[in-house]
Amino acid sequence: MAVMKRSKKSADANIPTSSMADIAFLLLIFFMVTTVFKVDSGISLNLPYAEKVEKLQRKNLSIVWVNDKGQIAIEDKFVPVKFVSVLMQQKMFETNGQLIVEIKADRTARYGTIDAIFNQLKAANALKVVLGARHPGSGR
Amino acid sequence: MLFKRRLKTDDNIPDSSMADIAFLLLVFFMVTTGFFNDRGLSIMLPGESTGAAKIPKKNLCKIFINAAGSIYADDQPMDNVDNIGTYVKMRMSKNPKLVVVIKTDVNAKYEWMIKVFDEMKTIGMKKISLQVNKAR
Repeated sequence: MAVMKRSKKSADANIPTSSMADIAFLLLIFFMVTTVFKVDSGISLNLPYAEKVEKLQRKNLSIVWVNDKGQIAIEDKFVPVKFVSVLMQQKMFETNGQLIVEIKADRTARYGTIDAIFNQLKAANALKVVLGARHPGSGR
Repeated sequence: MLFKRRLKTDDNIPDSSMADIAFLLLVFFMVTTGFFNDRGLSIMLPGESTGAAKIPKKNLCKIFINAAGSIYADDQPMDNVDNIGTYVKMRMSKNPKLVVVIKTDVNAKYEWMIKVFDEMKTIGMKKISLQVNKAR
């Protein structure tokens, strides 16, 4: 009888912390699942601003990076312009022709470089293209 | 009495630090998480099969961006992008078959072309042709 009384008293004095771990693990699992470790490749650039931007799907997307010097990078490697079509052709096969190419180019890049990429994409028959841009309102 | 109490505390699994471990991992993943939110302007390139359709001159609206960043719409200089928007809109209301041709110099900045392109999207112009001026 004496034991029962004491245990009841001590349980009341504690803050119930046993569910805190559950909550933390729940959040932890959420962030683990949604984490994408590599979002950006090493090439640094400033995207141009545009009002009418649409959200992109990650699926079947391939990104072509162009920096301010006109260097082109695909999947973390600098590639010469003439190899873009070959690489994109490969990706076309991998995605069953559903490929969407995003061109992420620096706002000060020469238009000639972009045009050369367009021609390469046409040669690879990768015709769905998105010009990466930022909305002026968004922070990123 | 004292001995008895010690025995009671010993039979618990220490779970007070579990929350700390979980929070540590949680903070790590929160910091390293980068959500994918790329945005952009979508275009459809003309394929080989599409071919170059002949467009009558009256259905064309030519916008030219030169290497210095000056923009001309139908050979008239335009001092800002909004003016081009209103000009094209005006022409579009008269002629619904209007096609806009954005001709950009190879040495022009990408940003300028994007600005004009964005303006065309904003006013609802869907038929846009992109050309490049290679002549020096």
